Amino acid sequence: MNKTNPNPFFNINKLVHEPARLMILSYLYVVESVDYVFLVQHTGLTWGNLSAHINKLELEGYIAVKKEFVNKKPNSLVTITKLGRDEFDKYRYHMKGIYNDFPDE
Amino acid sequence: MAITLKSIERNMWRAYFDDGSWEIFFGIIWLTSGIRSLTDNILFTWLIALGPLYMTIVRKKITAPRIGNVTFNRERMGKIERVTVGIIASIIATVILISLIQKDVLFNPIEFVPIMGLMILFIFLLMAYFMDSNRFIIIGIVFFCSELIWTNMGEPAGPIFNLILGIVFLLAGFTMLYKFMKNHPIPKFVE
Repeated sequence: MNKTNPNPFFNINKLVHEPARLMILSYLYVVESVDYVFLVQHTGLTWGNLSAHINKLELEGYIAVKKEFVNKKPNSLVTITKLGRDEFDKYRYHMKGIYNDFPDE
Repeated sequence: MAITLKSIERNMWRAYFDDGSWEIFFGIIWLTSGIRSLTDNILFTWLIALGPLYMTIVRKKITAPRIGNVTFNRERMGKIERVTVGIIASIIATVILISLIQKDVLFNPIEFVPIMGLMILFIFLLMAYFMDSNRFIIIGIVFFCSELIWTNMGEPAGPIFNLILGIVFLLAGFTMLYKFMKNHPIPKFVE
């Protein structure tokens, strides 16, 4: 049975739709990989907030976090996975579809 | 202005140009070449090495800890590869052209325009286009003007012009570096 709701607003991927996560995914979508410092500086999120969102996205398999040591200091590199990229694309087309149906002012 | 994925990527890329290191790099080159010619002391030529040395240290010790590290996508890296190829091709073409003119095989119809200056301008236009930074256009024009003055007015006008350029660019670079450090403090957290 197809459980898809006919109302497009109910089919928005809420994991991607959340502003902070959407911002993180947007940044990751356009590059190969970034570290936490770069994300903190560019998103304006606090360290704790960023970590929480990163964990959520990692648990869903949208992103991958590779921990390594650079000059004896821990450094985590974040990349978007194939699933994350596909879900982000789906979200973009979904939102475009919704707004394209709106009449112009 | 609308936020697009392209503009996000471009802003991430441009963040690396805000630390003033390119201005300081060229400032050192101009200042050194000016001092070298005015004093006629070959020892000052070695000071040019400070440019790349400064760039390496600043990028590693000041820029990266403040804005982090990013690996750009293949499209961006491809652009850098194209710039590198363009620079190598321009240098080879200029060397061949200059040697042909010096051996009277070719005739330079516009002697007052330095071929070296044109080559440098072309390289900077390439860099500005592929590296998405209009600042390289200004640096290229300034380089060309310096070569033009040096070719047509000789010494001491050429070296003095370079000396002034060097000071101006160093001041601009250090001002940018100060602003960069003020706007991007090292994030205080432990991973």
